[in-house]
Amino acid sequence: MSNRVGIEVSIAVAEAVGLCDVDVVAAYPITPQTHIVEHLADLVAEGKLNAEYIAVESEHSAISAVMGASATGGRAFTATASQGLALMHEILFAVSSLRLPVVMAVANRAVSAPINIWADLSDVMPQRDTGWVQLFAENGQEAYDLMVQAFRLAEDHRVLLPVMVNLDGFTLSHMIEPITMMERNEVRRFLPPIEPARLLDPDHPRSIGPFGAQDVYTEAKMQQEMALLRSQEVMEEIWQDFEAQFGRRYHAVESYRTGDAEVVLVTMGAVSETARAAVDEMRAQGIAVGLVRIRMWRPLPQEELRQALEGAKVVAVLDRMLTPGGTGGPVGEALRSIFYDAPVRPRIYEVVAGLGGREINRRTFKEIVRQALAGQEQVRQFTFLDVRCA
Amino acid sequence: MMEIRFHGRGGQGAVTAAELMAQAAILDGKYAQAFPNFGPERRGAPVTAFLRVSDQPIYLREKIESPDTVVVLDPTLIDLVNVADGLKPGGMLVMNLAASGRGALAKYGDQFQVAVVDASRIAVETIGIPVTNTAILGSLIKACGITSLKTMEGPMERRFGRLAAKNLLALQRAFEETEVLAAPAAPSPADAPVVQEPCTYAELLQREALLVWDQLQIGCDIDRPGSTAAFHTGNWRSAGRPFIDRDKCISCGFCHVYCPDLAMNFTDDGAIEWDHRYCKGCGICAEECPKGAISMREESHEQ
Ligand code: SF4
Ligand code: SF4
Repeated sequence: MSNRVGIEVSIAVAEAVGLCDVDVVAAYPITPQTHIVEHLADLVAEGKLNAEYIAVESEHSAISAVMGASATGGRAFTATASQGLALMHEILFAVSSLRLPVVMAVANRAVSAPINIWADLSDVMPQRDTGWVQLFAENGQEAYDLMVQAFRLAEDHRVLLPVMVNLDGFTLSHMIEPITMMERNEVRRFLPPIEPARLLDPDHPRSIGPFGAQDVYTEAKMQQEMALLRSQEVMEEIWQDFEAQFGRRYHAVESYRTGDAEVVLVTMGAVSETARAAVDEMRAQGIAVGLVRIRMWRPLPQEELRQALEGAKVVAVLDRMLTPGGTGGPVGEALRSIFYDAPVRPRIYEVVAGLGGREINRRTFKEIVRQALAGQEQVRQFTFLDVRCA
Repeated sequence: MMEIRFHGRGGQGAVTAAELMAQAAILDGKYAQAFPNFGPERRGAPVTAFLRVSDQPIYLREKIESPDTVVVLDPTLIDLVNVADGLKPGGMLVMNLAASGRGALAKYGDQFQVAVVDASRIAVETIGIPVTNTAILGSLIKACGITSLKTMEGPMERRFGRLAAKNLLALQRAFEETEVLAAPAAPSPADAPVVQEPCTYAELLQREALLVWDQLQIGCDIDRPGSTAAFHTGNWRSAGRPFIDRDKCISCGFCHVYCPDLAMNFTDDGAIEWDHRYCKGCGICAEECPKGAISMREESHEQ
């Protein structure tokens, strides 16, 4: 228990990155990511972390700098949020396509306009198709642990892909909560020094990022996709090792009280803990409700999700982002796709809620479940749960 | 519908030829489509262009795999690429070939119809340079119809302005001088309702892909340093090369820095030397030389 401390999650995340012996951090501050990179800057300035901290002029440069650092064989980290992540968009494709094991923390925040600095997933969801592994933390301990696991996954030679660790802005990033901290030597045992699969080295010249015309582009994409799909089993292996060493167990998809559940809630990120509390309260009232939480969003653990949800009558999805003009939110769409070919399909009841930091609490989940169980038909494929109407 | 593939070298006007013919066919009230083979643009490298002409609207946006007719603008291509690839049995080959080169036709004669003309000579005699793209259209019209010499006037005038008259003369002369050689009976399009694909889809992929996906380097890297040295961009050169006036050159090295293909280099004693293997004839060095020491001239002019 000696390592259990009350600490702000952003600071803990920065400490975890420090324990990973990163070589390069390049970042541009943006709320609510700021505390993560400020603390890393402190660690470097105080000589506690032997890394190069590059204070760049924009997020586009931040991701470009860590991409270059990674190509030279260094362990590289950046963090951002919202508009900053949007500004990185172009380079995110290059990092994954060049198979560079960069790790990034994203303190999820709404995107403008109106200007809004609070949590939702509309910054990360447009990055869904950039080829990064995407993980979502539920609490501070998990955000902390995922940072260390992320480097090991990214650098595994069967994967060699960048990893994005998402933590909800403020409701997770700025919370003070108990976190069991790891020791540097423990982390070193879990995460060996980086062994680049290949690197920019003047003594062994090579071209990283050359031209690839019609005759080779598809093959390059296939190779990348196979690595991304493979990352799921490598992650499971890493989570087993992590449990063996640290005693905490993680899965790509987690189920809570779903055994006999008639309605199963599906969530991502920090709202999941609140959802669990709501499930307990509803269970106490005799409502057969459970919860499935998606920790790994890319690659999407399709088989695990199908198995976790196949017994339910209704799957009630909370999407914290709208796909404008489309068929709902990204999680709802994914689940409908997963079940389209299944012999028995649960009804999928999707709500979009919690945009721009609008409060999500136990009553939110109780209302979702009430509507889902009432058998209320959705007029569209989704419902705006918490919008004010005349 | 008639499908035609043009073979030329980058800069010779194969794409322009296909476009001019398409414009004429459209003026005739037909439907037509002209397009290049979309790829890296390279002067002098073998290129293809495509033309479809039809009485009905065309609902295809793919390359032509099995042309009815193939047009070859440059006789040197016959040894480099299989110009008859996918050509329908009994289809038409329209070739620019000097009388002395007719032996090359032996390998095509029993399978295809051949129309032959010395378009290079006609072009030199009419236009003044060996650019054959307008002359060869005269042969194509003679061999396949498609449009008339008369209809070609409008598109040619719009395209070439004051040079149109010379090009129209080339067109006219090629039309007159084209010989359509005795040929096997061509199956009429109505006799061939089933589309015969020249190879299976899997074979097509094998033909196009360089490496299968799991043989590529991680991230599509290239791990052989300097591998582009094997790539002689000098082959692309078609319209002149730089000549250095040694009396004006001050060895400033601007041409060395600006040359996109490292074709201007310093010798051990500090002089600038031109490398024919990589110079693609872009003329940037001549543009950038502060002393006006570089001039772009025809290859045949000796320094
Ligand atoms: S740029 Fe002109 S003057 Fe300078 S080295 Fe080249 S040829 Fe000579
Ligand atoms: S023309 Fe001049 S600049 Fe262009 S490739 Fe040749 S040497 Fe280089």
